[in-house]
Amino acid sequence: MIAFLVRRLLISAVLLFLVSVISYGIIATAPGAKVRALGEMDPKKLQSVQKKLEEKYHLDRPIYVQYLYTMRDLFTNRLMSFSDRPVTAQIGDRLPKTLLLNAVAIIMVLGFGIPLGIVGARWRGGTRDALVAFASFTLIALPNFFVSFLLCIVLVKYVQVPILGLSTFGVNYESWAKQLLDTGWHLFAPALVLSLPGVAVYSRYVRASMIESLGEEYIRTARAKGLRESIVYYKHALRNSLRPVITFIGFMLVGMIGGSVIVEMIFNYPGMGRLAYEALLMRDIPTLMAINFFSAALVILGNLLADILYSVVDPRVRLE
Amino acid sequence: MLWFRRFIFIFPLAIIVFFLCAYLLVRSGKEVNENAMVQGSIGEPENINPIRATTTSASDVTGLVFNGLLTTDEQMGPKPSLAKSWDIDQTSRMFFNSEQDAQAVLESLQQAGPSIRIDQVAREGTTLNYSFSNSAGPGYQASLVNALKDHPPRPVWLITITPGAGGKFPDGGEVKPLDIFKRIESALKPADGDAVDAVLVNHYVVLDSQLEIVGHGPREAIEGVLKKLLATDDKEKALAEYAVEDFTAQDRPVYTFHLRDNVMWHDGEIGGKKYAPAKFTSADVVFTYESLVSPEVLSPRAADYVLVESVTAPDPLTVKVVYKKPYSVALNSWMMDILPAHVLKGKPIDWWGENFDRAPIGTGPFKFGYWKSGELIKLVRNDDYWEGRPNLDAVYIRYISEQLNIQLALETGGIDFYSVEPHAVKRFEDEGRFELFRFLSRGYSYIGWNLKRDIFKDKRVRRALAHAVNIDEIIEYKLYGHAEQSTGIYTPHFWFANPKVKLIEYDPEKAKALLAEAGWTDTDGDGFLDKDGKKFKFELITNNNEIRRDIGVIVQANLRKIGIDVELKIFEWSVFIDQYIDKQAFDACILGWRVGIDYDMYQLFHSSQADEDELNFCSYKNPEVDQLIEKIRVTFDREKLKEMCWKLQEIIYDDQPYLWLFVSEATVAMHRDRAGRSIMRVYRPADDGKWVEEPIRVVPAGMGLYMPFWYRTTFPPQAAPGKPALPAVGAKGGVQ
Repeated sequence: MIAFLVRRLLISAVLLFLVSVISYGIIATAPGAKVRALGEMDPKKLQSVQKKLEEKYHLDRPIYVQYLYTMRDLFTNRLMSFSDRPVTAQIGDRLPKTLLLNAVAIIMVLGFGIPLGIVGARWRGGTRDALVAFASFTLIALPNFFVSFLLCIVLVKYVQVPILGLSTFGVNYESWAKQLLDTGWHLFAPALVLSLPGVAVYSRYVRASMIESLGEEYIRTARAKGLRESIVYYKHALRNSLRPVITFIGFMLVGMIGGSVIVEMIFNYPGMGRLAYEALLMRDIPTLMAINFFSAALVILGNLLADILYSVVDPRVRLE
Repeated sequence: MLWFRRFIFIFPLAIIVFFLCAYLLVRSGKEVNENAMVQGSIGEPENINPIRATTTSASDVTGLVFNGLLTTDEQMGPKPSLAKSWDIDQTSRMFFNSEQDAQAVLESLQQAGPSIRIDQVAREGTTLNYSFSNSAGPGYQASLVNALKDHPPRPVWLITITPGAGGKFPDGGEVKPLDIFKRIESALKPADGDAVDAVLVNHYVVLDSQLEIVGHGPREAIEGVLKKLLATDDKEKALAEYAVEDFTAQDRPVYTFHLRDNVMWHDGEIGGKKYAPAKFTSADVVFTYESLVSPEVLSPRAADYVLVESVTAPDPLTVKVVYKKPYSVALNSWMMDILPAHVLKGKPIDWWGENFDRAPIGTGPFKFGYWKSGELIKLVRNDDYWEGRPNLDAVYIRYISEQLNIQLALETGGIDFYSVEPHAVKRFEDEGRFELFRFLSRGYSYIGWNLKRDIFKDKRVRRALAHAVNIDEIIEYKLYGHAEQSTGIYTPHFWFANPKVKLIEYDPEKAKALLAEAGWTDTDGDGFLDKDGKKFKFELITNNNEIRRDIGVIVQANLRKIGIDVELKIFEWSVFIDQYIDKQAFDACILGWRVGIDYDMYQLFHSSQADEDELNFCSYKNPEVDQLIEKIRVTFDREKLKEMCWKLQEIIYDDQPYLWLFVSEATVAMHRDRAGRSIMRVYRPADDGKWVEEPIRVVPAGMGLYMPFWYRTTFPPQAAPGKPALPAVGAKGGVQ
């Protein structure tokens, strides 16, 4: 187990390095001015200020030197955004909020995806299965941003779901419970949109896995023993079919971190995805680089977690 | 295992119950009853330090937290703010070859003195110093010319030297501004006594990267020294580039600002340290100037101050600014917000970013409250504001990242007002819940013709194109009528904008006639104009902005009708600017300018600014315009300036280097209160102790509405200390 972890961590380090090189290459070679003293077309632009700024952020150096500077500053926690804010302060502000949103979304995916999958498997071929399948495929087929905009209008206009910020503006709550409910309510719309495709895919996954388990010998044995159907389903079949499904959580985290950029923009959620988008518009290389790096680290960590979870739930799997 | 079954099905129910509870209970909290205004903004500022920020979202905040020495009046002229008044004088220096020459000119000026209103003349060796206020009499120039006829002064030059990157002198010394200066100095004083007849008077290092020298003597002498000093073996490249400007006299305008003595800095807390209110003095102005030109701060606004020779504080309430040469627009740069020296002095620049730039202390009507990144900024009332206590307790600026969300926020009451898009204006108007404020935005859209291309060189062709494009159609269909035809380089807000420019009207027949006159006719009958066997065809490019793209389509159709083939190409913004505009690699482009409060058009239309990466990217060159632009820069008299600016606008419009399209109109939709009027009113205390209502004022300077004295009518009225309560209008209010 320890050998496995060490090896995986080493591989992860190499992977992170490659990710950082590639992403820096893409960000830094994108067309357009890199650091702007003023808007590109401002008559008041002073060449000497522009030049000094480029020097300050090492943009006058070859790209690999720029990369080395950026990585050095990132690891020594000195990396400053182009608006002179430490990137760790920026990300520290936003990352917890993105993680919270993703956590709520994952809870919703698991909470709704597993029962829907079970329903599909248990009444396989029936009306209930068909309904679940229809809903799932519709959700998978519809583009996420489109559903988001529609939901945005419907939820805000007719259900008065708040979409700005994390708590109701100008309201003080006496108890933490109400504060929690308020925050939860603010998370509702973005988490719903973020989790919908997850629920759709996940329920298909659970269903398939369950159907596979139901065809196994031990199910026949269980039925032959005269066990009740519900015990056969929920004890024997479900337990085994959830194993592959658990690894899926790791991948889900990956997909959501990417998806939260769009969702955070549309629902105006103050998370890391919006920070990334705004940094992209500003061509703020250090901030983008740091966000990329943290996201990549999270993704790799998610995968590692999935592997470890898998070995925990399935004793046949040995991590070596 | 059956608990698991239950759990699996109960868990989603629990989630649903949780959100249901949230839905039902969420509004039962206690609303904070605040007399506040809530504004929405689509972009979040990168920082809110006025000398470092570049975005309008930042100036929305800094405009309420800070003050400049001056502000703008209704016609965008200067108006007192932190400075209660100012004088503009000029001190000049003239250098002569001999004391006799200087004495002769001195005497003749002294004789004419009273009639030409020169205040002081004094001789110091071969140098003559004189000063006058800008109301110098009309005879001034003439008497000076007369006095100088027999006693010519030595030419004065202002040389700007920009070192190239990484160059080295033959002896290995680095090519840095100060090193260059030392070398020039010693080159002018050779040991063998064979001195060059040139004298250096003063030198300045601009932002550590540029050297400026003022001196006098034969121009060839100094240029000879420079050429020798900066030459390298590589004939193509000198160690540094230099530019020389020649003058008869060194005219140095002096601005004296008299500051208000009742202005206090806000109290506040930055980075854990508390700052007590402090008095605003001239030291703050000097500090702000030093920061603006500091090579550490690297302010994007530095360009406005490179002509400043010195900023000094003779006493705590006076600031004296001396310029190196006349530049009449310079006054506008003192609208820059002033920073607190007592907070920032001695702090390293790295400290600013996370501290002052995100929690500033100013002198404005509102103090900084807090900033929730990605959500909002809160500003709170400054009770000691020098203009009077604002009526609102607080201002919130909420950052909303999507146009749709801002609209939803406006409709659901999450924000009080917002500038709505042209297509949505009608809907907000019909709804009745909103009062609309309309004003022209400070900018125009245009089609720029690349005058290096042969087809656009003929003025008749450009005017024909202007006759062929139906601007009304663009305004009607693309901007839903919320725009007016642009009249050229200035928008109608300004005192220097010409209201009588003769506009080119839509007239395709006239366009055809003009084109035929220029030799463009359809000789081969293919439906397209041609000349010398070449078809009239060009590429029109723009960036991926919906309105510009559609303008392109309309223009394409309009020009097709008169037989011109236009190919439309769309690019991403930075590619568009970097690869096409900056490199002048286009035939025609659709772009827009946001106009500042300056009437100086040097960067945009002077022929010297037509190189790559410069802003006269259409390569417009007209000697008459060049001359006028140069004259405008050194004229201080407002009436004369107005006359020259009007003429400039007329000539350039007539030449049509751009096809001026439109100036769009901004519409701010504001909620109505129960009395059916806008939720915000403006009340000012009058002298008799009553409150006087004023209309909401539109300030093109901030491209919005002036709000320090706004008052939220749906709120229980409150009284300022020593003042009667504000009139009550609506019922219970509060922020939703």
